Amino acid sequence: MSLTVELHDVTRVYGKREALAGVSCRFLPGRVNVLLGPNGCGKTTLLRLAAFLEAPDVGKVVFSDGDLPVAPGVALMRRMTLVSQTPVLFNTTVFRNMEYGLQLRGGKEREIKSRVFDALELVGMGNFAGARAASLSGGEAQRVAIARAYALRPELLLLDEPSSNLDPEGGSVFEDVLRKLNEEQGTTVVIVTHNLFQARRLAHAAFFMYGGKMVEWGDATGFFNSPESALTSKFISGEMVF
Amino acid sequence: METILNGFIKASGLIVSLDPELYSIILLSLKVSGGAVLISSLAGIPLGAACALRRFPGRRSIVLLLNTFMGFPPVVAGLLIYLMLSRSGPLGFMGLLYSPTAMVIAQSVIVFPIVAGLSWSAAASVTPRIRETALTLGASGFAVDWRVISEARMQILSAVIAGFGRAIAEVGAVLIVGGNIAGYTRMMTTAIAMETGKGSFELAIALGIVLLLVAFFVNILLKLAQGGFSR
Repeated sequence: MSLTVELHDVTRVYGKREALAGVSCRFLPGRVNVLLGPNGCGKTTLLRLAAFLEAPDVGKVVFSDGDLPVAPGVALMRRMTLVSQTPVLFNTTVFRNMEYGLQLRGGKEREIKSRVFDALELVGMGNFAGARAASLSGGEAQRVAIARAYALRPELLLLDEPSSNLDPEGGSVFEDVLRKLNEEQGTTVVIVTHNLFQARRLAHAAFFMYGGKMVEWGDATGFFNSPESALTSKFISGEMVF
Repeated sequence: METILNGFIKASGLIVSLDPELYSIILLSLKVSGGAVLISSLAGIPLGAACALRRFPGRRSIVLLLNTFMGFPPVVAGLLIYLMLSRSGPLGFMGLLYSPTAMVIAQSVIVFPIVAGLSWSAAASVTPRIRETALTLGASGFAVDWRVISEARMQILSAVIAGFGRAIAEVGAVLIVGGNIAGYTRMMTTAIAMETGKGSFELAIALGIVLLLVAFFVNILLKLAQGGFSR
């Protein structure tokens, strides 16, 4: 069984703008869930709610592990993590950035070191452990942010366009890391991406949002090959201009 | 011009010969200003950080007061402390007037708003995304605050150094509450003022050179803290 998140009729308002308008959905546990939609449709807001960075104005965000509900709190937050589009690294070395979350989880020094170096090797940043985070390029920083998330072995991984800063090789490395986590650890992945090729490659389930609403979701094969909604169809065929 | 030149020559002699009077004044100055900065930092950094990171009633008023008192005139601070510590004042029974402790208190009153105000500014300028990242990595409560403060550590160090610079160069308050007593409460700035008044420039110039050197090293530390040398 894997940790997952579901939204029950969630609304989130910024000023007069409704970023989310009565969204309900459940992300498939232990699967890669791809969240699609044009800019401003509410994808990032949904991830922020799932990561406890914001609270819904109306509705509920609920976590479960199998059939069991999981109460919100620090223990739950340490079973998940979020990687955002623009990587945020602390003003210290790459190693210190990597070990931060592991230390919070009470890992032993030896194990932390091993996990950090394994993760950095995996993203091709094995020689950067001692480098200052501020000295990294945007792509390198994003690789470190991905490695930092991998090192935590999260049960729920939330990704907000994590490969938009990466070159093709970096993008491929990222997809390998994501598959490894999902297949080996059973991590539930919720990923926002604008890259439809990437979405097709990774998705087990796909979700399409438009105007703050969840328009359609389902099994990836059916979603991409025979979408039910005309809006979804226009979006995945590239006809939707926005 | 000859007076100044002679003053410099004799001042160099005092510095090189480790003149006891000169060095006791320097040591007292460093002790008093160091003590004031220590007290101000222990109280001011947590207060500044709390105002930046927490929401509580009166927070805005505290920040407003800190910003106002950052420019607190030292003589006014000296006068207030004098009135508090004088025999007829509320704290007169402690017998602290004209003692190094009184000078530490007076300088603390001047330096505290500087350290607290600049610490608030430093912590408040850390992007909210640092806080959010710490949360998404599993931090909670004080661990999140500590992460934000760690990000602002260089600016907070700058605040402490700026406070020390203000304290070591301060003359009005320590003169009022310390009394400039030879061998007891005489500091570099008060000694310079007195020696200049007497027309005895050697010691004044020697102390002036040391004061400038201290200011120079404080500046170097400030630049180092801000990463100025790596740019």
